[in-house]
Amino acid sequence: MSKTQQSKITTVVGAHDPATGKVVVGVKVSCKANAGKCAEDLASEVLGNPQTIEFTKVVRPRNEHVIPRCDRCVGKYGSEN
Amino acid sequence: MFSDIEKIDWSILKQAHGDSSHVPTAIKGLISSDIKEQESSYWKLDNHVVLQGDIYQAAFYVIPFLIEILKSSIFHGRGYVYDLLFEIANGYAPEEVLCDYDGKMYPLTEACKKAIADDFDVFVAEVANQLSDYRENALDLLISLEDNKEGIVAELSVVRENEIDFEFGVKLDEAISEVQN
Repeated sequence: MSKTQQSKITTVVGAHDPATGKVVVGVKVSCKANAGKCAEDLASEVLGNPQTIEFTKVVRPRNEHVIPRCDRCVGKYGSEN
Repeated sequence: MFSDIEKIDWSILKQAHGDSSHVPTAIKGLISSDIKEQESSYWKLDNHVVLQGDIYQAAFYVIPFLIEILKSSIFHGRGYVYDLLFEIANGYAPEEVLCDYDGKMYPLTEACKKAIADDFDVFVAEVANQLSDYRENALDLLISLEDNKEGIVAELSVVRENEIDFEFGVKLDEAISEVQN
């Protein structure tokens, strides 16, 4: 994948629904369809928006930096462990 | 530094979680000599004016101050400045969000891309500076820009001719090729 293509993937997060055992990856690509959503929201949607979700750290793939959970996601999913 | 920062009414500019009153302090904190303050200031800009690839109104107004840091001889926080510029240049905002760039109204996404790409010579100067620790940051930003590609290729080609580091020379070749395609 070229650096230009990589630059469009802003963040990635793993998510686990403890009720079903289902595990998914939320990948945030910067585009109209994903506007206003974080990688956590995208992962939650794939899981069917369960009440409890365990997330990995959010990572920015282009530089492998860990991204702190934003204020809105803290309100929605709770603080990071 | 930042002589124009108070001329902007940051309280009316939107960011992901409300108004942008905290932004001037965060910009100033980026160039603190205290590494922890640099980092905490960075996360008051990232995750706020830009959030996981979504850009907000205040992002456009932050750009000139980030460029001002890069034009200065201050090296504190420079890596964070490049990270912010990269995120803003590659971010997205709904097309109905407009802002005035150079006397013309543009969608915010486009205005941010143009405002950053119009200063590409600043990033090329960083790439050309063989003593800089931020050459790759500047190169990655240049590769990602969508405007002024011809000028970027021309100036990077000049840098390539004078490059003495073999490994960085290969990176320059790859960057020039990617910008051209």
